[in-house]
Amino acid sequence: MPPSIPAFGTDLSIARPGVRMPRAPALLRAVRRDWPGAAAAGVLALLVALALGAPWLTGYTYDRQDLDHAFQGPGRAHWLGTDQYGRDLLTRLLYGARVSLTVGFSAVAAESIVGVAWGTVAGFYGGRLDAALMRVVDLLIAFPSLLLAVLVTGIFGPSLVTIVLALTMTAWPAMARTIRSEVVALRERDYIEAARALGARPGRMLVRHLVPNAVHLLAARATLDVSALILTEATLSFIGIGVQPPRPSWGLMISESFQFLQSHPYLVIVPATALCLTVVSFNVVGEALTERLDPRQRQRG
Amino acid sequence: MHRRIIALVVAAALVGGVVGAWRGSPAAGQVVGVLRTPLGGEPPTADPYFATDFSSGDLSFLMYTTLVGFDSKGRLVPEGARSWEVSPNGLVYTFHLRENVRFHSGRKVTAADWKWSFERMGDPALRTSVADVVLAGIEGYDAQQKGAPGLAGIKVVDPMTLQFVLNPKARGGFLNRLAYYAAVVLDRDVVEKGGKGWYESRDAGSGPFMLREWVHNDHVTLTSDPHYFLGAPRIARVEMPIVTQATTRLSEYQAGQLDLVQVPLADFQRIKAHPALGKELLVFPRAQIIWLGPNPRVYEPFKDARVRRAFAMAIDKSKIARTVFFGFYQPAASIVPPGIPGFYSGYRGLPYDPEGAKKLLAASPFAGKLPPLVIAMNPIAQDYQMAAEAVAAMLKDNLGVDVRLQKTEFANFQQGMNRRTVFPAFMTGWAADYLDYSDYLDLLLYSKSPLDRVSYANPEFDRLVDEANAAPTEAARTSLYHKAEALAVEDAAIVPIVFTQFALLKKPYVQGLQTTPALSGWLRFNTVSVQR
Repeated sequence: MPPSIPAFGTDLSIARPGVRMPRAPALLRAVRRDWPGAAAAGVLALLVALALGAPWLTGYTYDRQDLDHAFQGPGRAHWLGTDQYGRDLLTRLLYGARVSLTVGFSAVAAESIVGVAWGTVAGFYGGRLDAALMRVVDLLIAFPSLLLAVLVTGIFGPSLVTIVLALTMTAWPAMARTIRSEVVALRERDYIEAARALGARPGRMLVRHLVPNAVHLLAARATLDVSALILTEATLSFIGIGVQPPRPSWGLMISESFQFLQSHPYLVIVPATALCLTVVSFNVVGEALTERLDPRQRQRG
Repeated sequence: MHRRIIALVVAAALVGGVVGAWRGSPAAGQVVGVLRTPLGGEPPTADPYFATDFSSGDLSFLMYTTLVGFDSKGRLVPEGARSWEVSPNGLVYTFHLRENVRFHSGRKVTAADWKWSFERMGDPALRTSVADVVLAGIEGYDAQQKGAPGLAGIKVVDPMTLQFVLNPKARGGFLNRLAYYAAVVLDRDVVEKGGKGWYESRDAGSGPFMLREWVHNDHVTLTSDPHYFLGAPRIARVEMPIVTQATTRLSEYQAGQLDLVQVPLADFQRIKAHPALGKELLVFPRAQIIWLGPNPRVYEPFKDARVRRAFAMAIDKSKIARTVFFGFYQPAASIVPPGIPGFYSGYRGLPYDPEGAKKLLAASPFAGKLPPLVIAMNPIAQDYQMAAEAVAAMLKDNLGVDVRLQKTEFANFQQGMNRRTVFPAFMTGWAADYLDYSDYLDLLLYSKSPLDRVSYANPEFDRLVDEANAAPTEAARTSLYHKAEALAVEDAAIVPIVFTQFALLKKPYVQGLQTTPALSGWLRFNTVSVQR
C-alpha cells in the first residue's frame, strides 16, 4: 500500500476538520446537514408542546371575555394583548394551535390508513380490481376538494369530527394514488418474486414486504399533507363552516378580526403569522423527510 | 439594437397607456355632476316588487315613484299623489295624482297605471315579495289571492283620481305602507313588452333617475331624468360600482373613487379620530334593532316565560352597546327603534340583573339542568356576530348555561329561521322598510304573521295589536301598540339588544344629501349636487 494514501487522508481531516465529525452525535449531524429542516422541526416540537400545555400556560380561558379591556396591546397581564372582546390573545392562539394540530394529525392518520390500504391493494393485485379502485380515486380527485369539504360540513353540520371527516375525504385519494404507483413498481422486484417463489401468501407479502418499503413515501407525503390540511381547516373556519365560535381556530380568529384589519391589524397578523409559520414548517420538514427517507434521493445528496 | 429600441418604445407606450387608462377612470368620474356610491352586491333583481335586499332596494328607490313618501324627519309627504283625503270611517282613501308625473318613456302616469301596477303586485301567479305588506288591508285582496280577477278595492275615479277601499279589519298604518319603497307605479308597456327579464335593460319607472347600463357583477349606471316631477336632478349620473367587501368600499372612498359609502362599525372609531375623514363622517340613528330570538319550539326551556326572562336579564345591553359597539349603538329597552313615529321613549324594559335572573331560573323546573344552547348567527352583518359573541359569554358567566354559537351561510340561516324548527335561538336584526310600528310588532310577533319566527302566539298581544290597528286616532293606536310592545318585552318573546346607527362617509363636495333612518340611510338623490 503506497504510503501517500493515509497521509493524504490525514491531511484532509486536518485541513477541513468540520467535514468528518467522527464522534458527533447523529442528531447534530443531521442538523448540520439540513439546518432549515431542523429549525422547522424545532418550531413544530415547540408548537406541539405549547398546544399541549395551553390550559396551564396562560391562566386564562379562551372564551373568557373582559369587554372593558378589549383591544389591549401586548403587556404584562396579556402577553400578546386582547382581542375585540377582551379575550387573551395568547390563550386563543394556543387553543387555536390545538385545533389545527388535532385536525391536521387526525385527518392525516385517517387518510393514511384509507389511502395506504386502498393503494397497496390496487397496486398489488392489479388488473380489473386496480382499474376499478383507481377510477374511484380519479373521480374523487377530479372533484374540487374545498367544495367537497363544504358539502360534507354542510350536510353533517360543523363540528371537529365532521371537519376531520371532510378533510379525510378530500385527501385520501391522492395518498392512495401515490402509494399505488410505488407498489406497482415494487411488485416486480426480485425479492417479491423470491417471496412468491417461497410460497408466501399475498397478505403476508403485502404486510411484510410491500407496505414497509412504501413507508418512506407515506411519511414524507403525510407530513406535507398535514400542512395542506391545516390550511384547509383554516379556510373552512374562515368562511364560517369550520370551527364554531367561541372556540378559537386560527382561520376563525382571522375571520373574526378581519373587519378590524385597518384599525387593529395586529389581531389579524398574530394568527396569520402562526398559521403561516406552521404551514411552512410542515412543508420544510416534509421536504427534508422526502430527501432523507427516499434511498434514491439520498444517494444523490 | 434598433429593434430593441422599438420594442422599448412600444412597451413604454403600452405601460403609459395602461397607467393612463387606470388613472383615467376616476378622472372621468370627476366630471361635475356625477355621484359615485357603491352597491354592496349584485342586485338579484331590479323589479321593485321583488326587491327585498339592499342592492335591489336602493336601485328601485332611485328609479321609481310611490304615492306618498317620507322626508328626512320621517314625516309623510306627497310623492306621486299631490294630496289625499280619508273618509270619516277611515276606510276610503282618495288620492289626487300630480299632473306632471311621467314615465321615463315620456308617457303620463294616470290612475289606471296605478291600478294595473298594484294588481300586478297582488297577482297570485307572480307571488311578489311585497304584496302582503302593501296590499293586505285593501278590499278584495283576499279574493284576488283566491283567483278573482283584479283588485276590487282599487278604483279609478278619473284619470287623475285614485281610490282605495280598505276592508274593516284592515291592518293600520295604510299610508305608511304606501310609503314602502316597493309600492311604486310601473310602466305597463315596458313590463309587458320586455318579457320575463324586462328590468335588465330599461326601467319602468318615473323616478328622478333611469337605468342606463347594468353590467352584471360590475356596475350599474343611472342617468337623471330632466323631466322628473319634483324638478330635474342636479347631477347627471349616479354611478354604482358593485363592491362586496365593506373594507374595499372604504379604501375606494379614501382613494377618491367613491363619494358616498356606509362605514363598517369596526372602522367607526378610527375614522372619527381621523383628522380629515372625521369631518366627512355622518352619524345618525337607524331604525334598526339587533335582537335575540329564543325559539321555544326547539329549546324546551324557552316555553317557560321565566327562563326567557332570566336570559334577557342576564344580558348587559349597556355594556354591549358601550364596549362591543364602541358606544355608537344604544341599548334597546323596547323593540321598535327610535326613528319610527311613536317610539316608546322612557320605557325601561327588563333590567340587567344577574342575581334576579338566577332566582327566576331557580324558580323554574329547569333549574340546574339547562341543556346546552346553540345560538345561530345571521351572517349578513358582522354586527350580529359581535352581539352574539358577547351575549354567549354573559349567559355563560351569569347563568352557567353552556352556550355555543353557530355560523351559517345566509340562505341557510334565513331558511332555518323561517322554518322555526331548526335553531334553538338566533341573533339577527330588523331594519325598517317603512316607518311604522306595524313593520315591527305586526310582522315579528303577531301570531298569524309568517315572520313570527319565535312562535310567540300570545292572544293578549294579538288582541292589543288588532285594537291598535282598528284604533280611531294615531294617539290611541300608539298607546295600544306601547302596551303590546311592553307585554312582548316583559314576556321576553324576543330579547332586544341594541338600536343601531348609520355612519356614512360623504365627500365635502357632495351637497344636499337628505338622510333617513330607513333604507340605506339616504333619500332619493334628486336634491344632491356635486360641486368641485
